Order: sequence, then C-alpha cells, then structure tokens
Amino acid sequence: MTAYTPKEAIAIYSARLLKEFDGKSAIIGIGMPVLATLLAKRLYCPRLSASIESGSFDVDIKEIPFSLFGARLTYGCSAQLDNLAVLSAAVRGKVDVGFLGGAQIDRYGNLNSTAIGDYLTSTDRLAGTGGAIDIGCYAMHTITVMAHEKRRLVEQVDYLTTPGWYVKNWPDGNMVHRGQVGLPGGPYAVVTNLGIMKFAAGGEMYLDQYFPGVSVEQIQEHTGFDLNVSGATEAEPITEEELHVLRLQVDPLNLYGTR
Amino acid sequence: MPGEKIVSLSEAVQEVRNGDIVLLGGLIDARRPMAAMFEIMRQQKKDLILLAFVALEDPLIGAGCVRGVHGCYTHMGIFGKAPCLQRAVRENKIIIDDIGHADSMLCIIAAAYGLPFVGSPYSLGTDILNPAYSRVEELRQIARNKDKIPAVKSQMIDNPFSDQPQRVVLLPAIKPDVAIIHVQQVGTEGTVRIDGVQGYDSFDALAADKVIITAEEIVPEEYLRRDPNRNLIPCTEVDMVVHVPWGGHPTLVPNYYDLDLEFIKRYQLAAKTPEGFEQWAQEWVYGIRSQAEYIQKLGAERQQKLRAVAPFGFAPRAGLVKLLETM
Repeated sequence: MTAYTPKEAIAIYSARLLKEFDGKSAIIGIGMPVLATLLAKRLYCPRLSASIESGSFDVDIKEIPFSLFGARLTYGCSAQLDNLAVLSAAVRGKVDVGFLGGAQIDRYGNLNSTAIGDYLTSTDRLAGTGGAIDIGCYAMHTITVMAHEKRRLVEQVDYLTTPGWYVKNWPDGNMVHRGQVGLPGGPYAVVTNLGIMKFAAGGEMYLDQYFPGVSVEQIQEHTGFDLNVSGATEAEPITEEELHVLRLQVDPLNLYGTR
Repeated sequence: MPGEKIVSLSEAVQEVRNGDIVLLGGLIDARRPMAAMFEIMRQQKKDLILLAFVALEDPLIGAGCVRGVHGCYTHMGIFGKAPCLQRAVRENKIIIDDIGHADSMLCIIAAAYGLPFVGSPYSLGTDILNPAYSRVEELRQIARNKDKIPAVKSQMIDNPFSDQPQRVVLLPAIKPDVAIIHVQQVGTEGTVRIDGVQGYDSFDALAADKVIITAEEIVPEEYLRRDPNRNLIPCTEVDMVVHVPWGGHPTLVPNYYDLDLEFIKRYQLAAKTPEGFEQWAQEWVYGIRSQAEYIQKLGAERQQKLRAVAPFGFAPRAGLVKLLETM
C-alpha cells in the first residue's frame, strides 16, 4: 500500500462522502473542497453539478484552478453570471451540498473563518466571511474540511461566521436551533485528517469513522470538547486507484501542496 | 469630442480623493486593477475605505493608503494570509467591518438600482448581526463623504408581506465615490466588454459616482456595438478610460494572461516585514515610472509563460498538448 499524507486522506475521504450526492447540486468553496470535488467527480459522482461563488454555474473544470475566479472556472461552465446568482441558489432551495473549509468549529457545527480571539481586539484575522456564510445558511447539507486540532475543534467559536445547528438569535444573541431563525438544512459532516464526524438529531457532533492507523483516543485528545466516539467504526482503507487519480490526474503538479 | 474620456493613468487616479469609498473591480486574484492600485500608492492617497473583497489590495494597505474596509474577505485567496493587512490589524491601523459575500454585494446592488435599502436573508444566526461588532460608526469618521457610510450597519425587521413570521435583515445602499475596473476591452467612448468572471463589476459601474476603466485594449466603439449583448458596462456609466496593457498583472486576466503565482508568492514573502515590503514596493511601484517600464521589467520570457491560450483563456500549465490529453 502506497503511503499517503493527511491532506490526501482529507481529499479522498471527503470525495467518497460526495458519492451519495451524484446527480445533485453543490456550491464548492476555495481550497481543499475544490480538490476533493474534482476527485469525486472523476471517481464517484460524475453527475454532481458543482457551481462556484464566482458566478460560474455547473462547472466542467479541465485543469485544477488556483484562483477561484479565473478562466478555469468559466471555460466549459453552463453560464457565467454574477456571484449572487450562484449564492442565491442556496436561498432558493436548490443547493443540496455546501462544501467548505473551516478554521474553527464547535460541537454544533458553527464555523469561524473571521478572526481568532476577542473579535474587537483580535490581531489574528482569518479569511473572512466570503461565501461560506451564504452557503452555510441555506445549503441542505454542509460538509466542512479542516485539520483536526484542539485549537480548531473548540467549545465555543470566537466569532460565528457560518451557522451550524445552534445559532445566535439577535438582538439578545441567545443560542437557538437554526430553524428558529428561519434557516433550513444544516451541517452534515466534518472531514479531518483523523476521521469523519457527523451530527446527531439533537445537532451535536459525534465521531462516525476514524481513519486506518488512527485511534479514537487520539481523536478525543485533539478535540477541544467532549466528542461522542462510542459508535465510531474504522473507515475503509484508501485505495491505490484513489491515490493514482488524485496524484496523476487531478493535481499532477501538486499545486494544492497535499504531498 | 470623440475619445475625450481617454486619459493617462496618473490623470485618472488623481480623481481618487483621500477618504474616498473605493470599489476595486474584479475579484480577489482575478482581473484586479493592479496598475491603478500601484498608481494610488505612488500618489500617496490616504484614508481610503474599500468595499467587498480585500485580497491583492495588500500593497495598498502596506503603503498606508487604506484606513477602512466594509467587506467580506481579507485573505489573498488560496495564497493565504495577506501580510500587510495582518500587520495593519496588529498595529490597529485598519478598521474592518465584516459582512457576508451576498450582503456586501447587496449593498452595492441597492445603490446600482437606486434602492435606498434591500431586505436580505443571508446573515441570520451569525455574528454579522451582532450589534456590538458593528464598526460603521468608525468608518463614518474616516470617510470624506460621511453620509455615504450608513448610520447603522443593518436593521432586522419582520417581513411585512408574509403570513408566516419571517425575520429579514435590511441593508443600506452604499454608493462608492470611485470604482476602478480593469477590463479586457473598452471602446473609445467607454463601452466595456469583459471576459470571464465579472464579479460585481456591472453593479460597481452603476453604483459609483465616478467610474474609471483601465483596459488591456482600447478598441473602436463601433466594433463593440456590433454585439451589445456582450457588453457588460455601457459608455454612459463610464467617466474615464485608460489604456493599460498588463494592467491586471500579477492577477489573471481571462484571454490575456494567467495568474503569476511566483510573483505573488515572492510578494507575500517580502511583505512579511515592513522593510521587505518597502524594498518590494521600491522595485515594483515607486521605482517604476510608466507601464511600459513595468512591462519591460516583467520581461518577454515571463510574459510568454503567462500568456493565455484560446479557447481556454488561461495558460495550460504543462502545455496545450498535455492538457488536451487529459481532457
């Protein structure tokens, strides 16, 4: 069995997750989600319709893009409109999957991609809101990818950028179920370099699968809140074919730095 | 007078005043008005407030031109952290008022279509709506035209048209002082044709008080008017036109040239320290007296490597034949 890196594991296991969305629609965020989606479409869900917040609908990407807003997104897509045309598809109920990268996440799937620490005095800015907020509010299922670290999987996110299952109700800021503020859908899965988490009916994250070579103790150690691991099973090993397609076809020049 | 909108880059950028609300066209690392940004740096503009995404604007921030941002993004795309922005945040030299992608667009769309405000569903449940986190009051202090920055960031109401209770967020129209957009082709009278991702540009042009177009090519109006459906901005919304070939470098301009990864990475490394940034800026901005000089400095080899290939609009990384094989 060929050796692989943690980032390759994230790409491949999240590509597998997309299999069940073949024939459905997705909006894909910048970075790892793009890599994983290109892999998924080659291997598992060729009919997944992916659109990008660049305004490119139903993309057919010939060469892996670096910029999310360049000619590689436009060429071969169905129509190149403005950004809001794509983002609004989520509000209009047409987005089955939102695929995002996250910096910080809590047990309810709330994401922070804005700033670390106290917001008003923070000196550690992250990417900002981008389209993650629009996608996370209205996609039917949100899949998030991130590195599994204690400082990332936290008790409470420093800033609530993308809503999870329990969100802030203004003006008082109390946490309520997302349905109560009128948001449909919700977080579906989180894929890290250690395993796959999903969400129970009550909206709390639990460990669904741990990757080969990883222990549940390791996962608990790297999680900043109590994670229910009781029902977790070991994921199916990564295949040679998956690695081959990823390395030779999807990102032959290793632009995304996964290996 | 025919062609009277055509001016030099330095003339056009003189229209930008300290404290202006500026909208820079394109998106993140695609079709950005880089040459215009470098000219803003050379003319030492101050206290600018940027709207929407802030990414390859980083050199502008490094030069101290930007005091505020009302926007949705502060990284350099997949390149990651923007070094001068990070430093400005640490040193408390920049005010960032966070809003979502859709919502930032809606503020400009409202201005474009003459709406006083719009109703949005996009940020419910998030800290965007946290009243303690609004920074519009601070942006108002910086702005030259204070009444262009809204008095409140947003307002939550119940949808008056719905039987079911529905919370809606009202967002104000924000009318920029200046929009600067880099495009592939512009007519002598200002008609604009854009290829590829348009970002907010059509709305920018309608919303802004002043619209400056920098273009790879200035072409006859008559040529563009043979196919008006392909034109994103009408000449009636354009005030100034500037011919700036490679004016988007190092960002990508579909059908012309691709993203200059090495250049951006080298910038990112250099700008980690103030001294490194100054050195970079001296080499690529302050020491450059014309666009011709910039192009010459890029050199023929780099230009050839970046040049886009039809019909793709980008430069196939391992060459065209290899790309066709994998398709």
